[in-house]
Amino acid sequence: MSKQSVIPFGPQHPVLPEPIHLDLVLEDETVVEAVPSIGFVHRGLEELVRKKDFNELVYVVERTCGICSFMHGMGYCESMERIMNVTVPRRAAYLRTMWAEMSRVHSHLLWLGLYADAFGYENLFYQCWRIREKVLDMFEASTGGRCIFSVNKIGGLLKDVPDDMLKGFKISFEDIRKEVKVIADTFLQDLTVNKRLRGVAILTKEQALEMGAVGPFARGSGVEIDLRETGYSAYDELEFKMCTEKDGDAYARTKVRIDEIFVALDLINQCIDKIPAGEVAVVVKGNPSGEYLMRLEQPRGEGTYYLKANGTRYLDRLRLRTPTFANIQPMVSILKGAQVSDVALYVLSIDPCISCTER
Amino acid sequence: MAKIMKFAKTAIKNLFLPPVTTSYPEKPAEYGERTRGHIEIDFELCTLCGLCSKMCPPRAIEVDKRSGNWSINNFDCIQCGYCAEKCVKKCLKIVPGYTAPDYEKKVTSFHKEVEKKYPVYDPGVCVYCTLCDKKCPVQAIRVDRAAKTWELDINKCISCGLCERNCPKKCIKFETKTI
Repeated sequence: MSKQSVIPFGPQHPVLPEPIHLDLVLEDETVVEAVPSIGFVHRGLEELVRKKDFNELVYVVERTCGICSFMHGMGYCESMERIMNVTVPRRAAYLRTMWAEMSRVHSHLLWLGLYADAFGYENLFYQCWRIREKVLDMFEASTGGRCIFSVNKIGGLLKDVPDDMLKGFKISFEDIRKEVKVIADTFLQDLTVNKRLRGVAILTKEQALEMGAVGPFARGSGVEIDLRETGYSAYDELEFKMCTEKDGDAYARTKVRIDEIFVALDLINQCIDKIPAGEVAVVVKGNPSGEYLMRLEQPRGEGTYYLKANGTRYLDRLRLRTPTFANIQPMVSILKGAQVSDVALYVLSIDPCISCTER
Repeated sequence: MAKIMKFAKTAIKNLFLPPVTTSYPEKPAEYGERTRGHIEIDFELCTLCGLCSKMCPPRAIEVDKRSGNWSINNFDCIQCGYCAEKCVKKCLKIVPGYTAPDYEKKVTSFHKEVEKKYPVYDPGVCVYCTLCDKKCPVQAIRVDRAAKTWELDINKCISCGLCERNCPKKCIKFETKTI
């Protein structure tokens, strides 16, 4: 047995976009164990329920993450609406679904870009982010924000989107579909990219189930889990296909995410076609009382919101479990056997969002 | 070879295209009409009710009804637009265009003169019992029974009306004065 050594990896590392620290136990250059430690960007967000009332918390919760900000606000509002027995208008539900899928498109494009950068394909990184920019522009035109949207409120939405703008979005998304097709072909068929991604960072289906992996990370290993099938918001009236792959390697995860971009674009089209006319918000009166656990499918996987209200303006408890929190343990397991130079590629393959995880 | 050079077409095409990004600041940034840039107030309409201050999630807005001040700390403001939504008089709105960067965390303030009522005593009726002096919660009234003087410190007075309510001779009346 060769001599073991421990090297620190992160929280600040040129390749890592997120502040996670790993103690890598190495034998020569092979990782035999990785010990993660988090907590570098903990903000005590859940503690803020004591200081902010349940309406103000919408703006706090959506600041959990800059990428899936919309989904956080939506998850909080939907769970609060269920506690207060409020039914949002269908137009609001459709718009929420559309924005949620737009978030998925821009989140996956962001990840594809970062991943391309991590395996050394910078031009591809630029292209991914160029396309993502168009989605952000549409977000800005419709919600008023590029990353933090502030359109959700308990009882519906703060802003309606005019039908003309929706038609314009449909045309823009057709252009985006063509552009994504070009980068998708490069990701999936390019020889060097294939050599870099195939057969690395393998998570088997058994491991994924045992360790509770979620989102594209689990679906890349053949686990059929997609909470959109539970039919929250307007998903019960839309048709879509779950994207899964069997190989469980970095290539499979990339393919799942690329396929999900196309599914998300289909869903956006369906939303725009089927969206009913009408109001986007209902008046909500009184204070919430009761508790609710809501699960929804974020770009990175399953997000969980637990709210406990006591009949006053201030909640008793707010608990967020973000997808990366569930994915850290399987991520650590796939690192065993990796070469030290590949660690960033392995870590990034799960699409980590540590700032989200630490809340 | 075709597979290897799959992306070359896009790369070569991009060589001859203009930059995707705009050359800021030569070309000013264009904001959509919905962009949440900063908060603007139509101070003429404002009644200084203070609802925006109470509702503001980061507590960036401060309202002092007594002194007639409304101020916003632009650096604390998170541009959520909740104040604009809650404003009863609809004098607040969130408009495109971001506030300029600065070395200091500056506060934007507005001031308006507020009409305020102060106690005035009637020397003919007053018996200088000093009850108003004793009841005043901020010691704004000074009464000297021996010298028969009644003085009011306008800066201290909060116009609570306790003096008027407690006066046994009903000789204190509230009159409007502009600061």
